[in-house]
Amino acid sequence: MASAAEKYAAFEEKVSRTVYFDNLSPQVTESVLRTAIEQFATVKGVKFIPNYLGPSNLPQCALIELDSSKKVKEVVSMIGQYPFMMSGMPRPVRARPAVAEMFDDRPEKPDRKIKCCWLDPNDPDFEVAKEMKRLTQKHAAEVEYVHKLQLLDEKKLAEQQGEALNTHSKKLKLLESIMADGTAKNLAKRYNLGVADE
Amino acid sequence: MAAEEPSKLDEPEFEWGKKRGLGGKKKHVQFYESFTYDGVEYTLFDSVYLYKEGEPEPYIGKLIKIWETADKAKKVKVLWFFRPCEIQNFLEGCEVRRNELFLACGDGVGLANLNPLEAIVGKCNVLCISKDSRNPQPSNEELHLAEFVFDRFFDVGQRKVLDKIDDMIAGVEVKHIFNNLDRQKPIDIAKLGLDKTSISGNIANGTPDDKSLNTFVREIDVPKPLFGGKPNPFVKGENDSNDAVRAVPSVETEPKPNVQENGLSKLESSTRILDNSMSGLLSDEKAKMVSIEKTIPRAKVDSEKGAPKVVRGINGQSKKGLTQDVGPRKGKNDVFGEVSKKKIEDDVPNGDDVKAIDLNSSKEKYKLQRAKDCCDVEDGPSKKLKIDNKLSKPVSDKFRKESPGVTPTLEAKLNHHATNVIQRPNIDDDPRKKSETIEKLPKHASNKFQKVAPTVERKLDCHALEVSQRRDVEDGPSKKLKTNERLSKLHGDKFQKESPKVTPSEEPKLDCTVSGVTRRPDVDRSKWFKEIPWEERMKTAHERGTLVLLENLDPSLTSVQDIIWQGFKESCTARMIQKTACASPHSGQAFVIFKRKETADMVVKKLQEDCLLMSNDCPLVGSIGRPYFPGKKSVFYGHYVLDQSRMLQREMKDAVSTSHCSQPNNIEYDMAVEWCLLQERADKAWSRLYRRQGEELRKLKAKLKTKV
Repeated sequence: MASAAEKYAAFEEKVSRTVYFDNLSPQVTESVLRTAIEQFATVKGVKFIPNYLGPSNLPQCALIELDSSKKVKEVVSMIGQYPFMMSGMPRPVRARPAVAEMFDDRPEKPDRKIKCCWLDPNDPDFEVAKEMKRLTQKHAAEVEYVHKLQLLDEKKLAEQQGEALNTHSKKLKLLESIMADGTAKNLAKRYNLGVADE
Repeated sequence: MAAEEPSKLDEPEFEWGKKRGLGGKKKHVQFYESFTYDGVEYTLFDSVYLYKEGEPEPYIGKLIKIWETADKAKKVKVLWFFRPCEIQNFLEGCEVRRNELFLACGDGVGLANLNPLEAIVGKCNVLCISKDSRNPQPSNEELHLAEFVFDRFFDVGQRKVLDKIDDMIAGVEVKHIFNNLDRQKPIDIAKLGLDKTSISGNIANGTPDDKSLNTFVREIDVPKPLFGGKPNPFVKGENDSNDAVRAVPSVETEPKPNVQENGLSKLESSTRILDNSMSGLLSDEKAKMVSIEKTIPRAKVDSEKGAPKVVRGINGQSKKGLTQDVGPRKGKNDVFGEVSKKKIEDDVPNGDDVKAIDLNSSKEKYKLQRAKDCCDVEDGPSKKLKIDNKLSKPVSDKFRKESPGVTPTLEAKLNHHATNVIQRPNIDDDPRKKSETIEKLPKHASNKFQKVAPTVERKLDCHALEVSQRRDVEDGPSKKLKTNERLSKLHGDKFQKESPKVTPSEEPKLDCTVSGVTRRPDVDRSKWFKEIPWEERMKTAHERGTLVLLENLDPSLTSVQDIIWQGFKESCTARMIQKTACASPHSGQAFVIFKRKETADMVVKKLQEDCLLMSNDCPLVGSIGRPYFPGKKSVFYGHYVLDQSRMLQREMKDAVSTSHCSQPNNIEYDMAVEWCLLQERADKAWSRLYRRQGEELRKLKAKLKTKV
């Protein structure tokens, strides 16, 4: 029976071996993640972080446990340098080392005291506490708002890029088509120019 | 022996300064300590800009040797400073200041080079801000005036950033590396007016095959024949093509012996490695890929398997275990579908929820009722299994310390888990340990446990709730099972036991109560135990209105149940919400499931009206939980599907399905970079927001006088 301290130490060790990924598309499944990361390091475990609080459109996040913390550093730095795509292009995923709070099954920190007490309404701190409560709610609202704004930004960028992509592809299609149906060749003959064959 | 250049109109003026000594085989080489070039006086160990044609930014180096050859060619040996962009591959994670440089040290390519003096285009103000005791610390004014600063070194041999050095770099004592004690000369803001005309023919240090990403662009690919024979250091400093200064044969002879100092000789030997390694190094990606590729152990893990399978396995096994255990006791419990098993697990933690059925009976008597889904197998449906384990509230923290994170509710859970554990003896996440402890348990405590018959498919939670409610009506609060006598003994709490009043006939004893709850078994089991059911439980709880969202918790908390227990004497199951990258670092949240809606409502109301202050000096905020459940079809911005007709189907699929790093040679890369940019901006916004929020919180907290 491992003592609490040992368990916590083991847990912390696990945390140091875990990478946190986010900006994952909903199509990314555990097996995709696994195959992807196994190009670089042995994957010991994959766990998605469910999103219960935020807006429902937030991209997914996942925790991937590797076999050593050195690998974590490597993976994180590599993904930091080169955009890494998973299950779709071109939005890259993001990786960073995991922290203990990201895990939902973390053991209790040893020697931790939990205390709480009810405040007497006559206590002057009562008002302060009430204000803090209000502040918490305000903060939560702010966080939600920022999320919303971010999603809007993402949408905008996505649309922009989508348009650009479409125009490019149309252009290319056009080029291809005139090569294919001989228009280019005819024109070239007319003007005595050569047509480069690809 | 001051060499005067004929002053031509377009040639910068030059004059030698202080002499140092003679060197070379025939003593024809004159070393100097200073010179004046183009109106600027340079001294040994000054930092200078050197311009190479074609490079957007000049190099910065430290003059560590100045001499004139017998042929009146002026040379300098320069110890290099690296800009962060030049060594970004090796910077991994280090923070760099805007104008920070790294001084080369160690042995290897890129440490220093010989160059014609005419490559110098100006003085550079590089301040050493190292906290090394040997370094005179700069004043604030000097900091402001400095163009660049450095306090770290880059070992060119080991290729990593160092914070400290020994006594010599490239044959130069550290005192010359650090700031001069007598910094009298006004620091010349070096003119970056790269006077190309005067320099064009004299640029050293380039190679035709320098690649742009090369850190060691200063080192030239020394042609191979040189290695074998006389390593000719001067070739390094010179352009392969048409450098006027490149008088190799004549230069070669004399200064060479001089050059056999540690720094340079090492340089030569290390240039051997140059070719391949350099070309290898030249492209960032390659370098990185190489290092990464090497370290990939090909994992044999079947990628499809993993957690889900394990869980299934466990379920399967547990199922067996369950049936085994159940069999002898109840004849009818045969096949339990996974569903039912799940429900049971589901139920187990729920069952732990304290139902404070009766609080009016003696205060000493704490009663815990665990309503199990009692679609009993043997008896009629009205018989519910009530496991009345009322755990005494551990008043002292001592209790908590002994069993970190274990609270009464958890003990109750343990009780129940204990039963579960017994039923699944094959599970490898340490149930054996538990079963041992369980066996030791006193027999007088009994948990009753009835299982859902396979036919009853309703959610266990609902069952439990209904059942408990019915039970309330029927039995009244007086029927409690006592358990945890042992528990109480172990923890020295007062614990009033009641004799089990439940008719034994109804409830076959499960001789497996939990022993000393000295550890929290949840941690191990929670890996699979909580994962599947939690979301379901949340869903049902949400539907029934027993889900509460707690905010303002200390983010590193895990056992929220304690707080609820302490504050309300209610037990519940709770779980912290996992933090993500955009979550607040100041406060954490948790979802709590109560047994009854009334409890939940009461808790919320009380939290809203009164203030429960926690040990992180924050009042607990509670509200009815409204979770989002991630849907399958959530929108994801940023992934595009091109028109299929353009590409071959297979190619397209492969490109998308293979997770890959994008290379900078396609449009995908550019778009990816745009996303990265957006991401960075978002991160900055988040950090600003949280910083501000943190400030506000801190200000308020400071006002608090009571300390919990």
